[in-house]
Formats: sequence, C-alpha cells, structure tokens
Amino acid sequence: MRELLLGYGTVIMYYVMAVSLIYFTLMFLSYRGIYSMIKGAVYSRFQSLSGSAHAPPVSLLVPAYNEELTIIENVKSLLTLNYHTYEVIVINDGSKDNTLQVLIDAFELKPKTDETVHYAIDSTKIKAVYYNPAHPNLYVVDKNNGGKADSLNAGINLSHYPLICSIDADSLLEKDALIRMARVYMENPAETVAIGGNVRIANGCVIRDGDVKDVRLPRKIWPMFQTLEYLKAFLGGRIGWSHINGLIIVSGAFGMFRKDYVVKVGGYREGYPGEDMNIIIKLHRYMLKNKLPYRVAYCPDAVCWTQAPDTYRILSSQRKRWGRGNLKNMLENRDLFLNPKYKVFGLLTVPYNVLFETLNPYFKLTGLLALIGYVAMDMTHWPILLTFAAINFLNGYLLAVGSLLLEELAFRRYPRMRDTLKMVGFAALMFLGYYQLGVLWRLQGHIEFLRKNNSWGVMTRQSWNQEPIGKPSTVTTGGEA
Amino acid sequence: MNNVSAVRKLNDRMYQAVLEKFWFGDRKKPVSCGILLVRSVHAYDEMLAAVRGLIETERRLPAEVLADPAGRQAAFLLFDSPWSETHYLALMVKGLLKNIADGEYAVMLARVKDRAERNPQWFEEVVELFEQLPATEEIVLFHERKAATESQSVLLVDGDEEVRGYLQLRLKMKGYRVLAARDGRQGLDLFRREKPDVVVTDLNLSGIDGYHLLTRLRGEDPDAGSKIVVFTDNRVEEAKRKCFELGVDDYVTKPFSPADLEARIERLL
Amino acid sequence: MYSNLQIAHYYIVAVTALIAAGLAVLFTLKYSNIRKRKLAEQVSAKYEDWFTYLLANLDGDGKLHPPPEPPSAAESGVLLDRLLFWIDRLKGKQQAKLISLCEEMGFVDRQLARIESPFEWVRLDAAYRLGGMRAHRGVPAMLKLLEAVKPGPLSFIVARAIAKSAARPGELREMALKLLAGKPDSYELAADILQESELDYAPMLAEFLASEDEGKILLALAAMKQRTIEGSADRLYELTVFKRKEVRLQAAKLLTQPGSDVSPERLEALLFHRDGEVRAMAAEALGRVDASGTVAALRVALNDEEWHVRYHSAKSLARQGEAGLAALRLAAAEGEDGPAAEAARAVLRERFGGDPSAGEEAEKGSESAKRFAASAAFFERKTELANEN
Repeated sequence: MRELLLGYGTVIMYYVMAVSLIYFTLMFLSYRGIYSMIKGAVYSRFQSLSGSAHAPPVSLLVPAYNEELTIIENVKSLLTLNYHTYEVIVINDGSKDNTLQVLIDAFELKPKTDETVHYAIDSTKIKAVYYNPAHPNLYVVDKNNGGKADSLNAGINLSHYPLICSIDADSLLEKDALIRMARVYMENPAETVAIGGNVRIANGCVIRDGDVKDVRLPRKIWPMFQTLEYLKAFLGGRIGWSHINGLIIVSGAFGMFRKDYVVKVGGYREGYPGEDMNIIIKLHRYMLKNKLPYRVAYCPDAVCWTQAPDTYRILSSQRKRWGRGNLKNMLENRDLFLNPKYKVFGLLTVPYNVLFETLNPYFKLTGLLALIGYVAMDMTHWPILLTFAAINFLNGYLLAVGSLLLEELAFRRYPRMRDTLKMVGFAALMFLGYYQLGVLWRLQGHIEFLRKNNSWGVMTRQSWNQEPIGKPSTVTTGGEA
Repeated sequence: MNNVSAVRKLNDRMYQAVLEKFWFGDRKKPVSCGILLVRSVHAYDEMLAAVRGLIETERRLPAEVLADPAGRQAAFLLFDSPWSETHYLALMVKGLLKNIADGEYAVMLARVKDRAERNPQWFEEVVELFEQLPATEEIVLFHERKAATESQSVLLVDGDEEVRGYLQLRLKMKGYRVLAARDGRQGLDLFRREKPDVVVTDLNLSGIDGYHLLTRLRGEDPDAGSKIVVFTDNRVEEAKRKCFELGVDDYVTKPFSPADLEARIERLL
Repeated sequence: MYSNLQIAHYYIVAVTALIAAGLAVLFTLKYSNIRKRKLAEQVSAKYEDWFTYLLANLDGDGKLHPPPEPPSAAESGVLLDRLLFWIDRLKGKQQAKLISLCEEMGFVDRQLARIESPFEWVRLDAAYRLGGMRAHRGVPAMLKLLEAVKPGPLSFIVARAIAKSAARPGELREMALKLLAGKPDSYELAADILQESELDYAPMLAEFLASEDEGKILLALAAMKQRTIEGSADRLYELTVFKRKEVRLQAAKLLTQPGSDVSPERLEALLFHRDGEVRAMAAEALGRVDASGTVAALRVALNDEEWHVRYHSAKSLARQGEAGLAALRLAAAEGEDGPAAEAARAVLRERFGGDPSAGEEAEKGSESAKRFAASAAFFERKTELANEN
C-alpha cells in the first residue's frame, strides 16, 4: 500500500515536471515570438496608419446588461479611439435597470427607422435601433434578454463592417488599441481569422477621461494576485501559443474577428459561459476541416484595461464560471483530443488544455493526498513532501519571473522599481494560498457543471473611479459636459 | 528713480538707432532688425566683451551695441540680419553666459516690426518686459501683447502637446492671439468664453469625440461667426465628407505644411 | 526510489539557479531602463532652446544650424528621435530643412554605418531611422536588408523605410516586387506603404494593373482606392472576370464606387455577374444612375437569390423616382411573401416609415457640398501655384 501511494505520488511529481516543461517551452516560444511582434509594433507609425484609408473598418460590439452606472463613461471612451472608420454598437440585453434610457438621454438618440437588419446568425429579434447623426459612429440596439453570446450575435447581424471586435461593457480600451490590432490584421488579412488583445488589470491606476494616465499596481490583495496571474497567462502563455498557431482562447473582453468566418461557424454559442473559448475552437475546427490556411493571432501591445474583482465572493464566482465553461468546452470538443487531423490544435492545444488545465486540480490534489498518506504511514520520509512542495513552488515562480522579464523587455508598463519589487514579492506569496484557492474554485466550477447549474453568478459594477486613496476623483460619471 | 530714467534711456537709444538707420541708411530696402537683450548680473563687462566678440566673428555686418551698466544689461541691435541667424546667435550667447555668468542671466529676443520707426512705444514695451524677466535659462521670444479687440484669435484643440506648442509659437509670431486646449472639453470651455475667430481642431480627442465637438461648436455658434478648420491624421474621404456635413470650413491632413495651414486660416478670416 | 528523489533534487537546484539568474537580469534591465529615461529627459531639457530655434525658423530662407555645442553620441540618439518626430509630422520645405539638418549633423552617416552591423536588430533600427530621415543614400543597404529578413512584420518596417527614402521609381518598384514575393496577401498594407513615397508611381501602378500577375494586380487595385489611374475603366471591367475572386471583387468595388466613370450599361451587366458581392455592389451603384434601362434591370434583380442584392436593388429603385417606387409597390403587392416582396416592403418601410426631416437633410447636404467645393477649389489652386513654382 505504501509503495502504491509513493508510486502514485512520484508519478504526480513527474506530471508536475511535465507540465512545467510545457510551460517552459511555451515561455521560450513566447520569447521567440515576441521579437518580431515587438519590433513590428515599435517601428510602426500608428498615428499615421490610423488615418489611412487602407486600414479596414471595424465594428465594436458591446453587450450591456444592467450597466447603467458605467455605460456612459465607457461608450464615451470607446467613441474617442484613434481610428478613422469604426462603429460602436451597444447591445442592450434586456436590462432590468435604466441602461437603455441612460444611453438615450446622454447621447440624445432617436429610433432609427431606415435600417433593415439581416439575420445572418440566429439571434433574438432586435426591438429597435437608436441613433443620432451627431454621433455618427454610435448605434444602440435594444432587444430582449438572451445572454452575452446572443447579444453579440445580434450585434453581428446589425454591423456594417467586415471586421468585428467583441468588447466587454467594462473594458477600457487604450486609444491606439484598435489600430494596433488592425496592423496585425493588415499584415496577413487573408489568413487571420481572429486576433486577441492584451487584457490588463486597471485597479490602482489613475484614470481620467477614459484614459489610463498613470499605471500603478493595485493596492488590494485580490487584484494584485490577478495582475500577476494575467501577466503569466497573457505574456507567458498566449504569445507562445499564438506563435505555433495553437491559441485556444481570445479574451471576450477584447478580441477581433473576421465577420464572415464567425458567421460561417454559426456565431457565438448561446446559453453557457465560455463562449469566448468556444468561438475560437469552432474557428480552428472549421479552418482545419476545410484545409484553409489560417492563423489565430495575438497582439500583446493592444491593451484593454479591465476592473478585476476585488472581493472573494465576486472573484470566486468568476472563477467557478470559468471552470464550468472550460469543462463544457472540453467535453463538447473531445473529438479533437489527440486527433492528428487537427494538427497543432488537436495534438497539442486540446490535450494540454484537458490534461493540464481542466484536470489539473484532480491530479495535483490526488498526488498531494497520496504523498500525505505515504508520509503519514512512515514519518521518516517527510522530505518527499517537502520536495513535492518545492518543485511546485519553484516551477511556478520561475514562470512568474520569466513573465516579469518579458514584461520588462517588451512592454515596460510599470515604470517604477518598487513596482517590480512588489511583483516579485507577490509572485512568491501567491503560492501560500491563492493557487490553492484557484484549484478549489475550478473544482467547484466542475461540480456546478455536473449539477447543471447555469447562472452567471455574482457581479457588481463599479464606477471607474479607481484612484489611489486620498486623491479626489476627476472622473465625471454620466451627464453631458 | 534712477532706474526708471535709465530704462527710458535704453529704449530711447534703441529707438534713435533704428530711426537713424531708417533715415540715413538705404531707404529702398526695408530695415530688418533683430534685437538681442542680454542681462548679466555678475561679470557684466566680460559679458559685453564676449558678446561683442561673438558678433564680430559670426557676422560680417556691424551691430549697434547699447550698453546700460546701471541695469547690468545691454541691447544689441543686429541690422540686415536674417532672423534665423539672430536666433542662432542668441543660442551661442546663452552658451557663453552659462560659462561666465554664474546662473544670474537673462536673454531676450525681439524682432523689429515694419513701421517700427513710427512706434517708440514698442521699444518701451520690449524693455519693460525685459526688466521684469527673472533670471531664467530659457531664451525668451518677445510677442507683442495685443488687446483682445485688436487681433484675431485662434483656438487650437489638439491632444498632441508638441504640435500644439509649435502651432502656438508660429501663430503668435504671426500676430494672432492663440488659445490652446488639449482635449474636447477644454476646447469647448475656451470656445464659450472667448468666442475665437478660428478654431483649429483635431478629430481624435480625449473626452469628447471629434464629431461631437464639431456638433457642439456649431450648436453654440449657429451663424458660423467662428470658422472651423479640422486638422487631423484621418485621410479617409468619408470622414472629410462627414465633417463638412457637420459644418466645418476646411479640412487639413497631417503630415502638414505649416505655411499651407496658415494660408488656409488666413483665407477664412 | 532514491534515484527518483535525486532527479527531483537536481531539478530543484537547476530551477533555483535559473530563478536567481532571471531575477538578476530583471533588476539590471529595470535599472538601466530607468536610467535611460532620466537621461532622455535631461537631454531634452538641455536642448529645449535649440529646438525652439529650429521650430521658430523653419520657414525662413536661412539654413538651420546644429547646436553650438556638438552633442555627444548618447545625446545624439535622443535628438535624432525628436527630429524624426517632426520630420514625420511636417511636409514640404519645412520638412526638407530638417532633413538637410540631419544630414549635416552626421546622423545619416552614422546610421549608414550601423546598417552594416552583423546584428539584425541594429540593422533594423538603422533602416528605420534612415527611412525617417528620407535618406536616399541608404536605399541600397535597405533593399539588401529587405531581402534578408524573414517575411513578416519586419519586412514591412524595412519596406516602409525604403518607400520614404526612395529617390528613383526603380527602387520603389524593386521594393514592391520584393514585398509581393513574400507570401501574405497584405496588399492594403503594401499600398499604404507606397503612399509614403513622394515619387509619382502611377506609371508603375498602371503597369501592374495591366499585367497578368495576381499579386501585382491586387496591389494596384488596393492603391487605386486613394488615387485613380487615367483610362483604367476598361481594364477594370476586364478584371471583373479574372480567375481569382478577390481580383473580381476589388475591381468591381472600384468600378461601382461613387465618382467612378463607368457606363450604366456596364453596371447593368455587372448586375448579373456570377459573384453575389459584385451584384450587390452594382445594385447599390445603380441607385446613383439615371438611365433608361435601369429600373427594368433593378426589377429583375429584385428576385436575386442573395439577400444583399435584393435589398440594394430595392433601395436603388427607391431612388429612381416615381417609376422606381411604382415598381417597388408592385413587387410588394404581388410577391406575397416571396423574397422580392420582403425586400421591397423593407425598403418602403424605411422610406416612408418615418422621417419627416427628409427635406432638411437635402438642404444641409447642399450647404455642406458648397463648403466642401470651396475648400477643394482653394486646395487645387494652391497645388497649381505650387506646381508653377
């Protein structure tokens, strides 16, 4: 029995080392990929490109549900992007609060009667489209509640341009984010089906007039952990995956797609979280099945700032939701698992996702339990437990350091020395509970899935007035100047 | 008391020198004159000698040197010299002063206008301003302060600080009264307060988006008393059309030719 | 069992060493970046007066002089960046003065030396700066670099630098051909890059358009969005039956855009083209045409199998005056629930479902058109004057 436990524990240790090897490879690929990405970005003249007629027009789709507090600020900010031709389509998903009225009042919108919508994708019928020629790029769509995916589909039906960009209602795009994505598209328009943007945590930053003026680390502990998590995931992971065309997800908070392909795969899957990963999987599937050359690209210099949940309740709810969505996506697409017909995606991406993301909690937990059991039976071998913990910690920490190094090499968004020190410190602290909580939340998400629980969970909207304590806010909320 | 009369003397002397040049020099050619005012609290005599020497080596033409030891300042009148050379000379002088004047110095440049020989008050204004100048590292360029009614006003709305600074400089030198705003909201405020004659605005602004600003400007000013020039990177025909529909008077794209922009502004006034 | 643990221990040691190395590099990098920033700020402040001198005197006839104290190598980097900023923002004589200043200050020579470096990132940086300075002398080296880099984001950087600096159309052509040889169909970007050039490359575009090579044709078509080529209407019409779909679509787009001088008969022919997108474009364009056969052709197109074609045909009929509206009403009444009727009804609803201010729109339209024309006329006059000089 003891031998069995030890054996199993050791296997899990090797599992961890294997995961690390893949992580390290990914990180290595990220470093390789970053060179041409960054040089391409640094030496581009975005100011001039943003005014060029050769940059493609884009439709921004903003699904909104009960966003009356912040929707005005966000829409105003979206209307002032540095791009020559684009439209902002806000889809009011049957909000129970005053989201629609607030928009109509603030922008003096009137119902638009000369617009006929063609339903290329099945979606809830659009009740009305609101418009004001003084804001020629803004359309507000009203429809009955149908969920985020359904709203996106409705927006696609209305949109007038060949590229669409899905944006969360609380995303704060940088002014040049759109033109940076467009450049990545323009470099390979025939093959690019989707482009992911970089999502960064805005908690603690100084924001004025819809612009992040001063980038700072969050003061609260939950957003701080998430900042590091996002850095590892986006910089360490996604760049690497995109380099080998194995990117499995483009963040729903900021992602650009070719409308024609999204329509071809039937639009977003409604009714369950994880539609952002789902649409990418569908796109990979479609392109591989039809043997069309393609890429799902990633643009790390196009930044979207988002508010991270800063309480346990909201954060855990979000992570459980992600866990649910992830499991459903993997189950629905299990035929891709190790399927050579689907090349990198089938042989690397999906297996990696299943074994090392979805099933990660089970392996790690059982491994830990096995080793604890082993040690409990024979206390003289307690160092093995220490070894296990050390391996886990050092792996994760090396990846964190690698991501921070990448950030410093390529982006340098956190200018102060003390920011780096703080991040280095917190990267270590995360192992004293945060990662363990992550495992727990994922488990809970799986349990919810099995129980057929399909709620969106807890979310509260906060205003963008996130400033360091003590400074008066200069953000105006709603109303006209 | 003593200082006041010394001040009077300096600008009187300057005025005299210009008059002389005008009446006794070659009347067919217009007299161009750049004035370099230098003050050095310490090392006054050194400064005088050094600047004299510099002028002699750098220029072939003589200059009038009007010294005012009491005020520790001197005026150097450079006739028939292109303005850019005078400005460059000022740079060299500043370099000199950094070494010898120990931090307490001030340099000012002024350009004599047409008809200066008829306008002694101008010299007075220049010298008075110079007197009040604190010891500063920067070379100050003199702009005549005109009353709000006299000159035409231009409102610049552009998020790009450098371009804004540059246009401000140029338009001020041309004689306009310039107001600058860095975003739409500020622009709107200034517009309401000052009612400028011309508005030069970008489309890509913070706060309020460009088209909306145009609508609001026209809303505030329906009979088009103020002219609007859109000055933007956006080179797409559609945007141009939209702007004209919203009531602008001209559309200039970046990269731009400053002379072209000025000509278009003038055309509208 | 012990050997297993030993592997684990070696692993731990290796990873710890890597972490230590990583942290060392991280903090060194951070420190050096902070110092670089401070240096740049200092240099900017020191040369502020000189920049004021430059900007204030861009117009005059006099030459612009370098700073009285020659800057050090590190300072030069910062100064060059700022000069490049202004060269990019300006046009014409002012830009030319800044460019010759860069030449005088030796910046061009320095970058020409750097472009021979064995390291690719140094060559890339040098190419970028040479492009920024519009340095003709650097074009041969840049063309070599274009050949050497992997096709991708980097090749566009070098291509753009070449476009900015090329002094002979032959160089521009060589760059365009090299870009086309790289795989991606990035014609729009290539067309945008070509625009950076001050040379007249219309003959090159005409040649590309007339060729049989897909890549060249698509590049020419993309570039023609911003500039028309004389006498190309016939060739464009020919291209609407080219073997590759993208060519057909782009050619049709150019033919059907407002302001194109295509004949109504050709548009009507395009209305029955094999590609749905082309038919839709033709249907939309016919709304601006007033010829005898138009209403009849559009009526037939109302029964097209593609929704967009039906919709645009209906919209265009609505703009054809009474005859068009009558046809729409007829289709709406007779077609029951068929697709033609649906499109007709949708458009009729749009038209009459609501806007009493339709008349005002027309008013505003003519006012804005007047102002637009005044400005355009002024601009044309200026270009004429400029050309005379």
